[in-house]
Amino acid sequence: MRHFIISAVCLASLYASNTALAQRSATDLFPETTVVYAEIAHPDALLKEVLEHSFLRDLKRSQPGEKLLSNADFVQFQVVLSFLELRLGMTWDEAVSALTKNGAAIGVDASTNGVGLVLHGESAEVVEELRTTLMQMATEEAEKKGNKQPYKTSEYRGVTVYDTGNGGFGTYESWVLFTNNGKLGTKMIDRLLDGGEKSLSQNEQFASAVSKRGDHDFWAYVNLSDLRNIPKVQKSLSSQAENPLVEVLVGGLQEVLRHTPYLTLNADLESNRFAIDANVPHDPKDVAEAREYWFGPNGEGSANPQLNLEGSILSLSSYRNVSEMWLRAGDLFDERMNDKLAEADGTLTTLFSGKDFGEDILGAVQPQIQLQVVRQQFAEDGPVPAIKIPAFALRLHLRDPEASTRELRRTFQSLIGFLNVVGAQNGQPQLELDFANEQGVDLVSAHYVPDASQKNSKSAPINFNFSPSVAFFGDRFIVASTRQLAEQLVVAEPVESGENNQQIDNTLLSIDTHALSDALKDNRSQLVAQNMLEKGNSREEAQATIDAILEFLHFVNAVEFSAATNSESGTFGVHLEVH
Amino acid sequence: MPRTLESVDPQWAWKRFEPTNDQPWNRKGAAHLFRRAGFAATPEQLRNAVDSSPESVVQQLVQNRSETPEFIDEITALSAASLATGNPRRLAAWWLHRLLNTPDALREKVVLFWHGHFATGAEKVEDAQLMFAQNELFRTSGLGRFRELVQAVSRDPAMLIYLDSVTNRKAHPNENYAREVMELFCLGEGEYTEEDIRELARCFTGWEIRRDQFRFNKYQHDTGTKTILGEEGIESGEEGVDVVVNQPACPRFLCRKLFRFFVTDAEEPSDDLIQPLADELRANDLEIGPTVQRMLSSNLFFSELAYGRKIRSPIELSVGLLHSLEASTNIYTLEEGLRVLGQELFYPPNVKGWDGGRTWINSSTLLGRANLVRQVLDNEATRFGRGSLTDFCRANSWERGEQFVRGVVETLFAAEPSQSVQRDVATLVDNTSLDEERRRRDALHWLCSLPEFQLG
Repeated sequence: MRHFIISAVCLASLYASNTALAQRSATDLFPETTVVYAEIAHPDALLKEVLEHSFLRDLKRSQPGEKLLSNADFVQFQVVLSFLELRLGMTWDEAVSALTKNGAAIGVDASTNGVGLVLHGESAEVVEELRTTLMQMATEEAEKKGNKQPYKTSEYRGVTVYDTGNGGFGTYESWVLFTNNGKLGTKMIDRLLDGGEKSLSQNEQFASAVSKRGDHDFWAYVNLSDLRNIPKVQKSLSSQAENPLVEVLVGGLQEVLRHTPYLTLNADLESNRFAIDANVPHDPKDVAEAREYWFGPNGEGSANPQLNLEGSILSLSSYRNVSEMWLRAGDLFDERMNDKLAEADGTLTTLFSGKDFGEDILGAVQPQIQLQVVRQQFAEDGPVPAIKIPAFALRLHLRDPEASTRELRRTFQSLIGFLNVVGAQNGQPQLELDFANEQGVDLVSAHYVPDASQKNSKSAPINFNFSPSVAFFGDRFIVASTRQLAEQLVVAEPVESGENNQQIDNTLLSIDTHALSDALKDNRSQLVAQNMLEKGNSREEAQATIDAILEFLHFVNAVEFSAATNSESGTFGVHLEVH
Repeated sequence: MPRTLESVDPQWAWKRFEPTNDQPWNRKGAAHLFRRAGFAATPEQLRNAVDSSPESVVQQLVQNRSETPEFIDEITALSAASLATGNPRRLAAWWLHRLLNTPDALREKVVLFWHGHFATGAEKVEDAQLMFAQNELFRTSGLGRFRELVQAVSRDPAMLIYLDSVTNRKAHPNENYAREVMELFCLGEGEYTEEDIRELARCFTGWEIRRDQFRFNKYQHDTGTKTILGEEGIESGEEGVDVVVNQPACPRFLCRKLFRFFVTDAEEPSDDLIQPLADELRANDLEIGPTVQRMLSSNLFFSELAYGRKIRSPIELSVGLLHSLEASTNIYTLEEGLRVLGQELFYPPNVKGWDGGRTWINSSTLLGRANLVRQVLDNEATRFGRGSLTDFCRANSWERGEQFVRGVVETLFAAEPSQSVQRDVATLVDNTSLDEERRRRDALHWLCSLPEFQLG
C-alpha cells in the first residue's frame, strides 16, 4: 500500500446524543461500500496477553532478543518512549489500552479509495487528555527543529479536524478517527454524528458474515464480490496455472476465491497457541469441473488421517486426484506448461515401460496422498554423508493391489537399472537392489555400495542419503527415499483424532519445528559455511546467526495447516503451537 | 634510472633494493609490494611495513606461514562444506573467501599463479574434490622445488582428466600431456621437436586415472628405451620429466613467467635480464621461493619500471579492493561478477590459462569492472572492518574528503589519478547534503572506475 497517510476527519455534532453514541459500533461508522474491515474487540486484553505471553518472554531472553534489546536504535527508542510516558503520565501500554478500551477497527472503502481507522476509547476525558498532550509534544518537537506546525486545523459540522497534509484525524467524545482520505473522513463523521447514509453494519452480506462471527481476539471481513471487479484481482483468479506444484497445493483455494461472496478471518492468541482461520461460504456445486480433482466428486474428497511417525518433520495428508489433474492439464495450465507436460508425459511413459503415465501409473493410486518427511539416522558403521538430507516418502493406496503391485515393482527395478546406467556414464556410484518379504510386507530397496574409502566416512557424498525403496502391504504402496522410512511408513498407524465434526478434511499439514531444528542442526557446519560466504560474516557471526535461527525454532512446537469443507462453507486454518 | 627494460643492467636489476634519500622506503613502495606479493595491503599493514625494512617485509611474506591454527580450522571447515555439495563453483567461492581473508597472501598469490600455469578446468573435470586436491598441491608445493611440482602434477587426476590422459596405452601413446609439459609447463615453444613429444608420451604410457586416483598399469607401459631432447636411455615418466626440467630453457621459461606475474607485463624482458635469475633458480635446484624473494626485493621491482606497470586481473582488482578496506561481502555475487569478467576460479579459459596483461582490458571489460565494483559496494552484505565504510574511514582518519581520497589512493593506487579528479571526489565526500555512507561508497566507486585503478 502506498504511504499510509492519515488524513483527517472530524469531530462530532453537538446534537448527537451520548446514548446513541455509546450504542454505536465501528461498523456503523464505515460506509456500506467498505470492502475490507478488521476489528479487535478488546485491544487492552489482547495487548496484555501479548506482553505477558511466554513466547515474548522467551524471545526477550534469547540471544537474538537480547541483541535486539541492546541495539542502539532500540535503546534510543526506549528513551523516547520513556519521555513520552512521562509526559502522558502513564505507560505506553496503559495509553494504548485507554485509547482502545472499547475496540479498534480499520476499514478500506471502495467508493473513496480511503482507509479509515477507528479507536473507541475509555472515556471522552481520557481521549481529550491524550490528544492534547500528544499534539502539544508534536508542536514542541516541530518548533525545536525549526519546522512549521505539523497540522492544520479546520472545522466540519462543528467538529475540529486536524489535517497533517497527507491525512488527518479528529476526536469526538470517546472516539478517535483517522483517515487518509477526506471524503471517507466526512462520511465517517456523518455516521458518527447522526447515523448518516447506509453503513457497513446495514449491508446484508456483511450482516450475514457478522452473524457467524463468534468471539475472537481479531476478526476481519473481505468483500470478495466487489474485490473481484478489480481487473487485476479478476485476472489473478481466472488465470491458468504455470506451475503444477503450486496448482496442487493451492489450486483449490483459488477456486474457492473465484466464487465465494466474502471471506472472514479470525485470529486468537492463547497461552500456548496462536490460530488464524479463514472462513468462506462454499457450495461444492460452484466448483469448476477442472478442479474436481482437488475437492472430489460433490466436494466429498476426504484426506486420510495423519500418521503417527517418530521423528516426523513434516506430515501432509491430502485429497488430490493427481491422475485426473494430469488428464485435465489442458484446462488447468497455460500453453507453455502444457507443452512441457506433454513432453514429460512421453518421457515418463517410456520410463514406465509404455504404460500411460496419467492413466495407468497415476490412475493406479487412490486420491488420498500422504507425504512424510523425517529426520534421518545414520548407522555408526556405515558412511555418513556430509550433507544430511531428511528422508521423504509418499504413502499411497492402490486401487487394485493385485493388478498393480507386480507392475510397480518391476517398474521400480527398471528405474534403478536406468539410474545405474546413467550413473555409470557420469562416474557415479552404483545402486544395488535388495528384496525382502516379511509379514506380508513386500519391500524392494536399493542402496549405494560404498568403496573402501567411504565405508566409515563421516563426510561421505550426498548419494548416501538415499536408499530408494518401494513397499507394498495390502493396498498400501510406499515410495520412499530411504529403506528405513519405507519400513516405518508401511506399518504406521493414523493419529487418533478426538474431533468429530461435519467437516470434510481436504488437506492436513503439520510441521514439527523441534524435529526441523534437529535436522538443521545436523547440517550446522554447512549452514554456517553458507552464511559466511553469502553474508560475508565471520565464522563467529555466522555461528551466532545460525544458532539464533535454531533457537528461534525452539520457541514454536508445531505449525499446522488445514483445509476443510462442508456443504455450506470452507475453512482454511494456520495454527501455531508455542511453549 | 633506466627508462626501459632494454637498458637495464641485469646486475643492478636483481641486486637487493636498499632505500636511499632519493628512493626511500615509504608507503608507495610498501603498497606496491603488497599489491604484487598479495592482494593489496590494509592501512594497518602499510603502517607496519614502513616501520620495518623492505628486506624484512619480503622475507616475512615469502618465508612465514602466517595462517593461524584457528584460520586453518575455519578454512578446513569451509572447504569441507563446499566439497560436500560436489559443486566446483561452491569451491570457487571457498577459494575466494580464502584469498580475501588469508594472512598468507603471497602463498595464495602463488597458488593463483600455478592455477594459471597448470591450467585445469572444472567444466571438464567435473569433480570438486579433484580440483581441490590440485589446489592444495599448489599451496603445499608452490614455493618448493619445481621438479617435484611437475612430477606431482603429472600424476594429478584433475590435470590428466583435463588433458584427456585418463588412459595412456602403449599401442596409442597420448601426446596431449607430453606436449603441454614441454610447451606450456616447462620449456616454451621452439625448445623441443615433435619427436621429443612422441618419445615423452611413450614414457607416460601406463599412467592412468582409475576411480579418481593415479594408477600405473605396467602392462600398458612401453618399456622400450626412449630418447628425449638428445638424452638416451630414458625409460619411465619420472625420468622423462627430469630430462625436461633439466633443460637450460626450463629456469629461463619459468623466470620469464614469474617476471610477468610479479614484476611487469608491460614489456618482455630480454634473455640477458632473465639469465641471472634463471641461474639462481637452477643453483637452488629449481626451488621457487628464493627466486620469488629475489624478484620482490630487487632494485628493478622497486623501480618505476615496475610501479604500475601491470594490469590488474579481475581477481587482483576485486580482492585487492576488498582486502585493503578490510571488507567482507557476498562471495557468490563476487564469484558471479568474476565469471562475467572472464576470470572464474577453477574455470580457466583453456590449457594456456589466462593471457593476462593488456588482454584484461577492452571497452566492455572496463565497464564490467566498474559494474563489479558497484555491485559489490551496493551489496547489502558488504561491510568494511565489520561495519560501515564511514566507520572504517573514521578508524583510519579518512574523515574529510581530502583525507579519504589520499587514504584510498595511497592504499589502492599504483598510479596517482589527476589532481582535478581527486579534488572532485573529495568534494563529493564533503557534500553533506547526501547520506554519508552513500557518498563515501559513490566516491570509492568513482575512484575505482578510473583508468589508473586498473594498474596494479
